[in-house]
Amino acid sequence: MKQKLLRCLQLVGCTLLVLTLPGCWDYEKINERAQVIGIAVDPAAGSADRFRYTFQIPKFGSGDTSEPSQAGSGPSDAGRSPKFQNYTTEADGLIDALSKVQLENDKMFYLSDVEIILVPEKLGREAVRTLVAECMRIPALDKEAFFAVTTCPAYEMFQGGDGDKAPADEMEHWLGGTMRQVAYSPRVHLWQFWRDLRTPGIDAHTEVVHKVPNGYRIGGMMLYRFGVPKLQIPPSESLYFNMLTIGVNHVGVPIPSKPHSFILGNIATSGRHWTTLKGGQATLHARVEIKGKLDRSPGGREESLTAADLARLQNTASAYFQQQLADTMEQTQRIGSDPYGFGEWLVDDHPELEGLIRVKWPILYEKAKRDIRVRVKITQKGTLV
Amino acid sequence: MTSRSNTSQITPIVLSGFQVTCFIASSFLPLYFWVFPRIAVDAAGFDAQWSVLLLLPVGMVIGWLHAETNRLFPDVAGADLLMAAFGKAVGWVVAATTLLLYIWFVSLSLTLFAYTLRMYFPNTPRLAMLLGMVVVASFGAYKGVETLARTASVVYPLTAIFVVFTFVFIIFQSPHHWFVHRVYHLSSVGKGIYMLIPLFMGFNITGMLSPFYTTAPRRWWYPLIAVMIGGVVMWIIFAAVQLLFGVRAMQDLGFPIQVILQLMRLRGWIIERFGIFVVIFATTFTTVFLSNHIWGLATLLTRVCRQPEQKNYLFLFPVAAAIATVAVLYPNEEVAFLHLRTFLVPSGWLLLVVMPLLAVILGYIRRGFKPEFPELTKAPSNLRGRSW
Repeated sequence: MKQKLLRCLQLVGCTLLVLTLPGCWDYEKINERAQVIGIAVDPAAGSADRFRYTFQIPKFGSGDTSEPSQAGSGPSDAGRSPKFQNYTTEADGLIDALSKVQLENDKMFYLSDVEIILVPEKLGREAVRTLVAECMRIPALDKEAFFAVTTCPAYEMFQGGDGDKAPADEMEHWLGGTMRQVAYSPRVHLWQFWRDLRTPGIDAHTEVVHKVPNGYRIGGMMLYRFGVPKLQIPPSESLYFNMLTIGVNHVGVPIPSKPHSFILGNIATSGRHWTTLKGGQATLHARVEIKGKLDRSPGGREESLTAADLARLQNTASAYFQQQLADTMEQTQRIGSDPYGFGEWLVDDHPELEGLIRVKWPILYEKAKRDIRVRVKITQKGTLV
Repeated sequence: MTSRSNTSQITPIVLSGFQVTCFIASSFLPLYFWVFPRIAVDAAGFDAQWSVLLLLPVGMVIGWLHAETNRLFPDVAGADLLMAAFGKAVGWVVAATTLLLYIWFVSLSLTLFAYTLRMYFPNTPRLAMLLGMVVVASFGAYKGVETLARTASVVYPLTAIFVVFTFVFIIFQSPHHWFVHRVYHLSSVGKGIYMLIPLFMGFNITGMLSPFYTTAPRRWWYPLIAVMIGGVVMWIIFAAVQLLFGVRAMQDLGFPIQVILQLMRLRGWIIERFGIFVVIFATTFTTVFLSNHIWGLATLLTRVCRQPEQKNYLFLFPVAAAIATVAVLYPNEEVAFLHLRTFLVPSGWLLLVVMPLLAVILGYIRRGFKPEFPELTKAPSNLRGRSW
């Protein structure tokens, strides 16, 4: 009898447990959610402590033709509704802003799929720090969201696009992909930016979004010093920063040489760097290995290349890249901002120097010597003999 | 050692080496798992990585002490083992103290896990999570040690493989190399080890298992293997966190493991909903951990109350209720961290190092270096300890 009772109880218990398995008692369909994919934060007019937040959400379902409610909807062609919608409000903080824009939307806002966070370069140092810390503190917010700086008000970037795809989606696809143009911009995520802001010996840097007549363009990098944007490095030079740090792939680079230039294609790079400190003089060491194939031989000639020719081309390319890397590094040294993390390496090597590096690294970095070596290897010379 | 049975016949339970190893291995780590990189960095600064690395040999010593205790006292477990080693009165006091400290430790582990789960399920009340886990774990404990060992032998390997794979993946994805290149201060390394020792809390459950694998070959190695796996997993996790965040940034992350797992984006891959997998594995592992300890503590309490071990199921409810109550009473995670740092660290050293060391020394004195137990050398042929 007791056995039967226990069996019955077990059966009831198991049935109840099975009922909880689907976990859909509070389920909301994806098209009934307001999934925030982009956040733009601009300074509010007339107050240093308030910000203007713009949230971009995608609109699901082809049958949805309702017009966006308020400021900042995407462009709408006649008879075609945009696939995204922007909500803008002024508030003291991110969650505060979300609560306010909820007044305009009957769908619940979610932050778990944020793809990009945009701030204008004019946003103040404390504002950037506060925003980044707030974003890191919110457990639901995706820390893998890209963090980019804009050269004009950030909310304007969310107005662009042809309406078929949300700008935040496009930017994330651009930065998160393995396409060739990615080499011309760093790819900094929210958590990396937060880490660099607070780690001694490295200065934060991030990708730049520019406004162009028909929308926006991503390229180049913004260098920060003590949390303040200091220098914008153009896309062509960001390439050489990436070669040493995150590595680049699939890129083609023309190499000037006399009498004719040639092109290295499908470049893949790997780099490492370290620092030595002797008698108050820092030396920045960098080693980069570049592999690529010869897409165009000097003068576009079709005659076969000899081993001596290839060696000469490799040496020429190595010298060229070495010079470019040095020029890019010199630019960062001029403003005393170290996005590579040479100072951080020094702290790892000499933890006792942390205090010194925290205060004096910009000066040491500015005056540091460079020791850069690049080795180019042409792995393929093409199908022409 | 016996199990509850429907009939009057008492069946001896013999666990395989694999089951024993998994049972032990699934009984420690959850207390610190989500927070240990931050605690290591807080305590040891730039030397945190060396502290975590040296935890492995320290854990081996702890493993050896427990294995040796079981070798010296293979015929008794739990409270009886303590009474055999320390004498009846002192042993009883030690067992009662251990019981109280362990209820606290298990409650704290549960509390910290519930706070971690809250990040994934912000709308679910903490009370519901805590009670749900305690109820399931109590049911597991009611089913007895054999069921727990079988469950652990499935859950632990899966969890360990998942964790190792995940964090090795993260290591290869990390763009920077932030390892500190040398030992800065030996004293910091020591301080780090001192603060990290509660990672092994729960290891004392080895003392409850001794009679279940008395006749198993290579039995001496099981606790050591469990420690080795745990130590290596800890090191891999710490390396992944440090390679991504660096030392200074780690200090500001309350739950670094939880943050780092958020950074995994496995798109177009076999696991599409990675976060859900993390929750499933972590919850399963923590429930097995909880089950093991509810069973262990109920059995310990049974003997502290001088009742026969077969009646341990009567003490499951008081133990589970005590654990749930203490866990529910924690107002926030900072209080939990404070108690952890202030009280559980010295308690960990007392329970994991001092007590087993004394038990081993007293065991040598009372039973000699090579005690012989002819009646224990052979188990029934069909139940003999299986090697693995």
